[in-house]
Amino acid sequence: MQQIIGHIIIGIGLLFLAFGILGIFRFSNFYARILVASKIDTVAFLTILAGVIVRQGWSAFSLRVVLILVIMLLINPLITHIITRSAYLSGYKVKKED
Amino acid sequence: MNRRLYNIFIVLICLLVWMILIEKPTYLNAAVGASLAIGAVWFNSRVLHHDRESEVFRLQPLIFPFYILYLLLQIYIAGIQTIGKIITGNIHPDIVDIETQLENDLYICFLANSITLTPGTVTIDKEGQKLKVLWLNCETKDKEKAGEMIKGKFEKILRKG
Amino acid sequence: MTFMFLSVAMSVLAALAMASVVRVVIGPTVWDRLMCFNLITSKICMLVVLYAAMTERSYLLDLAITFVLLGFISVIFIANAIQKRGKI
Repeated sequence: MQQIIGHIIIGIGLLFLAFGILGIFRFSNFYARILVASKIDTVAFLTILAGVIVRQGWSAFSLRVVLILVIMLLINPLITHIITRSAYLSGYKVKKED
Repeated sequence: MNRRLYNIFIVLICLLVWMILIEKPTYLNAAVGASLAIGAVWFNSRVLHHDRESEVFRLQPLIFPFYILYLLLQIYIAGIQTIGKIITGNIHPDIVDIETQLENDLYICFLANSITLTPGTVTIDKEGQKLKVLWLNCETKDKEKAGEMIKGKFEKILRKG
Repeated sequence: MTFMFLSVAMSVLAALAMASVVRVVIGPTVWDRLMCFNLITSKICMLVVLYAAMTERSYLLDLAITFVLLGFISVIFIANAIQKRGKI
């Protein structure tokens, strides 16, 4: 029962991830792409790792997965921020989507 | 929170990470981890930093569980809204300036990272109390209204601490 | 059944990572390539976690931690070098 719930949560995470990839190819503006893609990726990462935690139950394995989750939550906004800042300070203009 | 209490806090966090990674909670492992953590903190404060940052920020530990729960809720709500915007395809990305009333630099850092972690907004730059935010669905360029819509309740929770 | 599901999930993840590689190849700007490099790094991390859950070996998770940290450092340095036009 526990394993089936975990599998359902992992499946929902894969669905989020597929929408993120769709967003990368759909928009023609760089800023729209980075806003859509990185963020859907955050949600998908949270959901898939939560699914693995539910599947494994309370053990040393789950504690390590929680550690990976905390590290990812700390560094993911930094990566998005520094890529966008690099593009903005290099003079890439925000255009309307055409 | 003075300097010594801050160092003890860092040692405890390092010890926790060590015990999670080593997976066998015995006294010998705990002793080795504690000595390594104390050595790392001593090296970091004496050799690397030269006591340049003498200011230690004040933290309220009580608001953080509530803050993290609210942050996770907001991440999921905004993620589902972003999926709707991907399917319909009507987006207007633009850059707005907002202002915050927080004065502590650490809390402004928390606020900016929370804005970046929530899908649909990315912080680009910070000068003093002004933040430059890239917004996926820019409805208004007015400073106050945009700030109200982007910051949400994050600022109210942080101002209590 | 659990073996089956996790294998299928890992195949889907690998296919999505290959789809991001397409954006790395055709991306018009260098920041597109950096962004998709970050996406591929996080997908490989998820792949390692799912494989560790499938085979019940917890030491594989150390690889995932190392991968996340290496991707973080490389993206930060490349983005900074581009912003300062090659001067670090």
